[in-house]
Amino acid sequence: MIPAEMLLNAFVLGILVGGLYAIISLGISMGIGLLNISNLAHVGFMLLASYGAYTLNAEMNLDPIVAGAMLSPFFFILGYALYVMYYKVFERRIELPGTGLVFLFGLLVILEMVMYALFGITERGIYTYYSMQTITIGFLRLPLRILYPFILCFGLVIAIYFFLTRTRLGIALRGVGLDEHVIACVGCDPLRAKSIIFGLSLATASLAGGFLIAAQPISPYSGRQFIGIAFAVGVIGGMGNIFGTFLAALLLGVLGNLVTALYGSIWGAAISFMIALLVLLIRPKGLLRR
Amino acid sequence: MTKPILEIQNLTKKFGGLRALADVSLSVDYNERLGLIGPNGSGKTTLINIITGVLDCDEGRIIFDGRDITKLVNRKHAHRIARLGISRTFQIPRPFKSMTVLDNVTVPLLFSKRYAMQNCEETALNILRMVNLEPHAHSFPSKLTQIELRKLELARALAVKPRLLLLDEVGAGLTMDEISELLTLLKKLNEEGLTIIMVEHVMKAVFSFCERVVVLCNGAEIACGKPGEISSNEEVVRSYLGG
Amino acid sequence: MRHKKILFLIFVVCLIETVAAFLPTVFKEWYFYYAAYRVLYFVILAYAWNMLGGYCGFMNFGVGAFAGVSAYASAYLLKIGVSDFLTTLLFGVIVSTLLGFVLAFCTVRVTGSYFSIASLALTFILQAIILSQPELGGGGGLYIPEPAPPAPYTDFREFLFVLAVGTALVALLTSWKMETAWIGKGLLSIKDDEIAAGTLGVDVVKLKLLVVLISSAFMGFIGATLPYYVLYLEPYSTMSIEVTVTTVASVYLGGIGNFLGPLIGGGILGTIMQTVTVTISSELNMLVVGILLVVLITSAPTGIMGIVKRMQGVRQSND
Repeated sequence: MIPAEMLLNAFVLGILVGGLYAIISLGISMGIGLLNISNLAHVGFMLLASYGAYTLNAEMNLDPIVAGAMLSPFFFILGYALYVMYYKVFERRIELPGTGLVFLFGLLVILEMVMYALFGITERGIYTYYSMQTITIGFLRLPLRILYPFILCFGLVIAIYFFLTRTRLGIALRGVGLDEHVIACVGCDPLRAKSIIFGLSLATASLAGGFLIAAQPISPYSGRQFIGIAFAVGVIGGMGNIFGTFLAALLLGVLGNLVTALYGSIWGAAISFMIALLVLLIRPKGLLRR
Repeated sequence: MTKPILEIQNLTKKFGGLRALADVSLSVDYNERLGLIGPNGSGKTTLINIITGVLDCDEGRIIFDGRDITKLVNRKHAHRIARLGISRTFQIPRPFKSMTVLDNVTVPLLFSKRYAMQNCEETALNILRMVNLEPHAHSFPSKLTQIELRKLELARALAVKPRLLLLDEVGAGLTMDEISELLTLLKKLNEEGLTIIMVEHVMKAVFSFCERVVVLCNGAEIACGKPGEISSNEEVVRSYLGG
Repeated sequence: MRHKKILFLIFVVCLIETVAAFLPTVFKEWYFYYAAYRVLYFVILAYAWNMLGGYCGFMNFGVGAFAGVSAYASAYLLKIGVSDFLTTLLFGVIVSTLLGFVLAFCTVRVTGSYFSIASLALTFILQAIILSQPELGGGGGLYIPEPAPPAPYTDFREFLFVLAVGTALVALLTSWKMETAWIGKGLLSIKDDEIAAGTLGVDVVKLKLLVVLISSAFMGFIGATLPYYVLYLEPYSTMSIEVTVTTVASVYLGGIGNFLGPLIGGGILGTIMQTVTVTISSELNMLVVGILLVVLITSAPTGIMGIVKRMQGVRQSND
């Protein structure tokens, strides 16, 4: 039987890991909830940022989290441009639904393969001063490489929440997802607003990439495990619902980690997925919807 | 007194904080021609959406031909409600763009009335003939004019072989001649046993066609009676003019 | 008129299958059957994908999962001693169809993109599960004993070739029927306007689930034959995203929503893959297919058949 201390450690670690899940899922959730675009390539972009952080670290000894943050403006611009192109090509195409999804899927494959070509299959890791350190509180042992990202993710989620609900720009951005034409009538260019949202979404991917490589070594396929997690988080928390996504991420982080501690890591992911399917049956709009 | 074909009891529907329908009750007799009017946003289309199972309701009961269909509505089983004999047209025509006009009419025959593929064509052509669309049978909806699209909308709804037909602003954007043409057809169908609920803004059409008129405002019924009574009702006039 | 068309098509199909059945007794080039099965594998997957994606609007990014899980199911039965070919095939079909049904049932009431994300996630989850199960070979892979070919064939792969030809033909006929029969009209109406279709009596949920079942069954059927062909299964290549991207690219190359599209696209892409993979790595392979897919989907989403139809349309209006 697993001792209670270990379970409690797994529980707390799960919450911390949930922070990372949150920031990854947030980007995807924003896309689905606000723009109705399921960005399958999101994890690809995240890994791109991770490798970018890796390179910056190798060349300039930059901390990966800082590197991820520094890369985010570029990812914002990339997201903006990508969405403009996506809109012009796919959103207008009503007679062939779903081609946008296929495009994003193809993009994911291309991103993975390009990273594979550039960096190979061997895992790359970054070792910072805090990579091996843990804080000990009582019997709880919290690894810094996961604690720091968690704190930052928490702050980020709050920042995004306030941006989307308290600032004028943020509210307008949320509005464009609800009704494009009405927003256009009040003088806000819907394409620009949507592109900004998508740019923000990719910017969060960049940050997430920095957090990811700070927490663990990566390979070009590292993003794949997060697709299922992001799906589960989005379904349970409600797509586009900031706090719902955050809570759901923590929940799944804890659940995944506990199941991993007891049965091994793959069942954690599988359980989350199955719960997501169950939730879709019972409460399709999400458990944590207001 | 005979049973009504449609009974709506205490229907309430909220969208977040907005109350689209508040405790609406309505009764429609067999073969009746009922008009449903009211200013924009009064809940008319919402009511149609609920009856046909496109939206669910928060409270209330709906009874069609003696059968309680509230569960079907709340589970949004629109197809089963269609098969029971309720059909509707949409405010803005929504034809199936990838198919010909004939195929558009064939779909309800295949699915509502379970026709076999071989038997559809003739019946579909007959329906198109009724609305004067037969020459366009093999054209695509993108080639049709506004009135032709509305006729297609009507033809599709008729292909369901309904006992109750809900028309959502079928006259919008049409000339009086075009409207008369549709009303003549609808009168004939009504005489053959079709109950019609007409949501309209073109008052002339409502008052000339309907036997009884119900007025909705802000999700509640504010008046009900013969066309003559309604047009002289002060509150109705005020609700339209915003007084 | 329509009856003549059906009879002609069935006649052609039977003819082709008969020829295929006799071919291995006279034509002894083993590489032909080896390669042909591979090409037909993708043709069948492309047909299955087209049913869901082209006729229904459901994009299935878990092709690798569906076909792969069937392959593993079939191989597992073989491993535990069930050697009857048909039984293992059936088991694979059942597993794959069940998977598809569960996934679709949970996502059918919400937007179709949930099905797409979930199917993609499923590929990786199942991959990892199989990796962790020693009974299924884990990372080392699962070896399957070479089966004895039924008479009159001398290699099991010749038999698989004949089976694959038959399956591809059935898939073609099914797609054709789906386009022309009542189910095709229903699916088209759902693709155009789901809500309007519902109010006209179309049971949207049931139709979608029906297509998922048929599509998953085809994927499962051909997937279940894979262990007999490769004789060695391991999760990375069997349940890979490479299968998915090749399938999707085949569909869009040939022409989506058209009953000849998967044959053309799968035939062309499958043949290219067969001849090219021997020279370049499989990762570069995937990159090329991925780029092909993105280019196709952006500039020519209707594929070859789309271009053919457009030229036909131009010719008709010029007459």
